[in-house]
Amino acid sequence: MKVSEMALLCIVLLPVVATLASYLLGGMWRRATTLLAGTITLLLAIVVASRVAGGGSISVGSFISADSLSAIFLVVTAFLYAATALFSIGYLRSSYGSKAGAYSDRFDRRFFVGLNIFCGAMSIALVMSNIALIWVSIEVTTVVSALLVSLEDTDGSSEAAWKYILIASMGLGLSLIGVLVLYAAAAPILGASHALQIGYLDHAHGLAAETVELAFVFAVIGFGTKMGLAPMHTWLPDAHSEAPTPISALLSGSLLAVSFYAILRFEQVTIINAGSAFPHDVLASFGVLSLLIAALFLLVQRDMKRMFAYSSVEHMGIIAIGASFGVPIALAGVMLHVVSHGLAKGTAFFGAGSFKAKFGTKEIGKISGGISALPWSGPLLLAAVAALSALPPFAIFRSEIMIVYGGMESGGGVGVVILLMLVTLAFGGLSWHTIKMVMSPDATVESPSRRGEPSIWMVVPMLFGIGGLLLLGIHPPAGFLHLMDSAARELSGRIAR
Amino acid sequence: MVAEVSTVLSQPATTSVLVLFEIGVLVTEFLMLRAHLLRSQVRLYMAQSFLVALFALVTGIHLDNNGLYAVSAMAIAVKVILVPVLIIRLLRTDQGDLSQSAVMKLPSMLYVALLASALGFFMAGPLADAGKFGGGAMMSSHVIPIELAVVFMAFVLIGFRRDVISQMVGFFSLENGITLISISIAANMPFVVEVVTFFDLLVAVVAFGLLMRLHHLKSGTLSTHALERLKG
Repeated sequence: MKVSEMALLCIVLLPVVATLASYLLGGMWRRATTLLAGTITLLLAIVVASRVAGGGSISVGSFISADSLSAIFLVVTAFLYAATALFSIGYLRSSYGSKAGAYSDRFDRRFFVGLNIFCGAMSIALVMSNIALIWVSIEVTTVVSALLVSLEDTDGSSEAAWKYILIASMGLGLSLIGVLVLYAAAAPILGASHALQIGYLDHAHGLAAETVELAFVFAVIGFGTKMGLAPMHTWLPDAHSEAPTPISALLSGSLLAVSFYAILRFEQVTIINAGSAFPHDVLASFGVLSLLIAALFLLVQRDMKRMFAYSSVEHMGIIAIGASFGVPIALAGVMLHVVSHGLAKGTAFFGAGSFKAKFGTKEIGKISGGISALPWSGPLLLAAVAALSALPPFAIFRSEIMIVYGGMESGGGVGVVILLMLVTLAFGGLSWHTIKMVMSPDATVESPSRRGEPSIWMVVPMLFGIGGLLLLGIHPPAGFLHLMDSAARELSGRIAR
Repeated sequence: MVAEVSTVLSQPATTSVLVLFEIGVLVTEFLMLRAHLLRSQVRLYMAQSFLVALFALVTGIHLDNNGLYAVSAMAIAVKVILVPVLIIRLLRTDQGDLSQSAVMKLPSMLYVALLASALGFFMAGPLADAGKFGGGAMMSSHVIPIELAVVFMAFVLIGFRRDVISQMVGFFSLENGITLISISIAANMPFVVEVVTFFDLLVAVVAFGLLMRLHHLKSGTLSTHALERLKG
């Protein structure tokens, strides 16, 4: 077995081991194991990504494989796995440690067991070579993350968890119909055992166009529900705002991207067999609606985490619109956007966690003087919001420029104008609320007892996130550019056929 | 080799039996909508699941498909026995009825349900036509419309009832509709995928049960009227 194949297999097995260890071991070892598992998964994901950056794929058996498209999503998921494990060490102590009874070994165990299963299921979804198994993995993420959302045991968290599992499960029910319809279309051509294998579907011609389009619609509505596309996004602001903050970071930065990955797999098959016009129109419609709703709701938010949740809906809209342009430069921009949104949103939620721990509230109106009270997290949160607002020199600026350029190249001028207008509107809402929290003066914070970070463990992952955004924005590594181009080629190459 | 349900349906007696099962499933879905008592709804779900198991069994016999026998057995174990037992256990602590949980009056809700089932029949056309592609009519115009109607009516049940039991039963009946679709159009899907999908349902049952219990502990009721704190 080659090193890259071994790495791929370890990506599947490592979270399982970490889950068992988190269940069996005590507090400190539990955290250490999770952090170690996250860090090693990130390193393994980089090994896999470097192997497939030039094209091709790695396979282990019949059901595990990775190509450049899955590797991009894998890297961002693995980064957030490691960063969240690091952040959680400080967050759990500073947020729950002082509350008598609220934070116990049982809570700690549930949190880390859930975190490992959640990250493991997302990673596994990205390395499955069978579309039905991708669906199964994403369904597991729903079940586990719904339980994690309810972990704080408040009225709000139980409400959010119930709405989340109900709406997401309904969506996934529809996406399962999409999987079945795709099977029905592919089985006569590929045979029963290969009908849902990505490696075969990628090259399958002659599938019934109408059936494949129907499968794509079910997939977009179903997986789009989990991706947070409007109007199926209603669970998202509730779940993201009520979940423990590290889980919010994973939901937003990684889970939405994993669901988009599933849609892209359906899109590939649809483009080959039914042409690009239909899937692009569908994606553009959902993208514009998501962007519009998010931009409007961002203006009136009063809860910091809810604001970042709507920002996620906004960015999923941008990604969907970018994918609808279909040309290589726009698709490469989409790939970069997926990675940079994961880094920026993870960092923003980490910042929100620090603010909540410091000020004891998520309400925007009750927070001021953030930059004085939190000398590290304040500026880092501001930087994350600048990145989310697509300001230079951060990576989202680069990705949005690529998407806009691609839109112009594909003749989607109207789409580009709508995109720019709504992104500007969203920028207004996001930056206004954040500047109010971070920059407005607060006389009380000058006292030494109020200045300072809740925990250094919460600052370090933010530094990594901002560092990554700067690196990808200013001078992306050559290997990453190859990976991005290869994934874009994989998607756009189908159009040329 | 791809299994063709149309082969089964080409035999008149079998067709009649299978369509009868499916009509039974659709009727139970309608009855769930109008049920006033929590226990009635759960019993209807048991009956519906039993019909789904029979559908899998009869199809399995005619296709000589061992996977479908397993699906039938798992449906009885999980859907006919385990899920209802879990729900009934929870109901021991709350004996309320469902009459106040409907968002709209019963006649209006039934009209919506009829529209939803009509949507299922409407959408089945392209599916059945497209299924004839490649000379192998895998999807049958006999059963797909009923199955899609069950799926869309389950959405009505989830959306128009304001209690956790109805919403959960609605989700599980949605899953019954999807199981029927999978038997009709993907009977020979690799068995490992079917088993994993079933296991996944089992995990979902546990998660739904835990969250339902949590909701009950928090609010002291099975109603979801109170779940309106999070808005905007």
